[in-house]
Amino acid sequence: MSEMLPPIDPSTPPPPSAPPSASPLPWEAPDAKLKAIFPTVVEFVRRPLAAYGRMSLAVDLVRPIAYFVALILIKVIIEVAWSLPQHGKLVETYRTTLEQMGQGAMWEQIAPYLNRPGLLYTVLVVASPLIYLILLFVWAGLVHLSGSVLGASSAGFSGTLRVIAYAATAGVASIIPFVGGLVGLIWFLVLTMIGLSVVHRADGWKAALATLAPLLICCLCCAGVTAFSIFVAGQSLTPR
Amino acid sequence: MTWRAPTADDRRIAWLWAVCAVSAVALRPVWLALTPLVPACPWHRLTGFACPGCGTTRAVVRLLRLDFAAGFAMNPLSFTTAAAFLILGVAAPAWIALAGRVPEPSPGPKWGWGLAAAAGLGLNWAWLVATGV
Repeated sequence: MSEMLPPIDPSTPPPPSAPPSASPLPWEAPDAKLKAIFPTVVEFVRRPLAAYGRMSLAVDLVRPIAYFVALILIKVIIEVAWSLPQHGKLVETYRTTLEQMGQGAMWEQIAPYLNRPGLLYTVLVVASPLIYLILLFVWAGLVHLSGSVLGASSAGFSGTLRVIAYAATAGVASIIPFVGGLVGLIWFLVLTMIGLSVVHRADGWKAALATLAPLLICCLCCAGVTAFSIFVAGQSLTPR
Repeated sequence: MTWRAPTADDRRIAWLWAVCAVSAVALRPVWLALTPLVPACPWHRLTGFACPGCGTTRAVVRLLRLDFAAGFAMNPLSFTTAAAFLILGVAAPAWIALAGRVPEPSPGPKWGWGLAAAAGLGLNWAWLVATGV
């Protein structure tokens, strides 16, 4: 016996088709080449929320890590380009600062390195991908630990690692003279918060706290110094 | 916490960890050259007491110089963390290759972990203040 389907009511609109899956990030497309890095940077600069939404948790982890390394190289090369013409001035400022701090012996130790800018910057550019890779891993571990305590780690450590790898996009801020490093650091933290909230489907405050907790612990002493300075300043300004 | 079979991501992470651990040791001359550039702790200079992170640089430098007892005394928490990072990092790919299982934390907040971390930091800080690091 054949089963009959119910007749289609012509007035009923057809059921909506499944929404098209978000297209992958240019850097994560199967046929992506090195030049895909630029549209990916633009994507994270212009629409970070959408970019993290398009980020795949299934693509090979090598992709985001390669993106991180490429962005770090760009950042370091820009920083070297800014520093090189002013190297003498920077070294002189540093020497004066150390001497004012009574750290003249320290200057004697580091002067041989600082007075050879060619060697110094070459070593810096060559070693920076490895140094930053270690920092990426350690930083991701600390942020993931904070996220786990708060319950903002549903996508696992690899999710956190991917988020922070793409947050390295903030390194392009180095192109801004003088304040590029600071702008880049703040931007990096904001990108990390956005990424954690998207990838781990976490509340904004949890993502923010998971990002800032390691920094707050590290900077506890700085906060203490500030509070102590304010207290001392307050005491000295109080009329007796 | 449950233990599960490793995924492709776990294998990549294990290798990345190993690369980081080996690089950290291979870059020993760079770390030692950079050490003088690390400024003294402003909290310690101002108050005379150690901050929670005081001694970390000295502990890591002593670890790199294989002076374990002195490194541990400088900052037990930082020294243990750094040593675990290096040892587990080298062991991670071997563990995965031998079909070792990986930990999978249960979902949701883990306030017990937070308390343990706070207690660890507090005890470590007490040690630093008591020993005058």
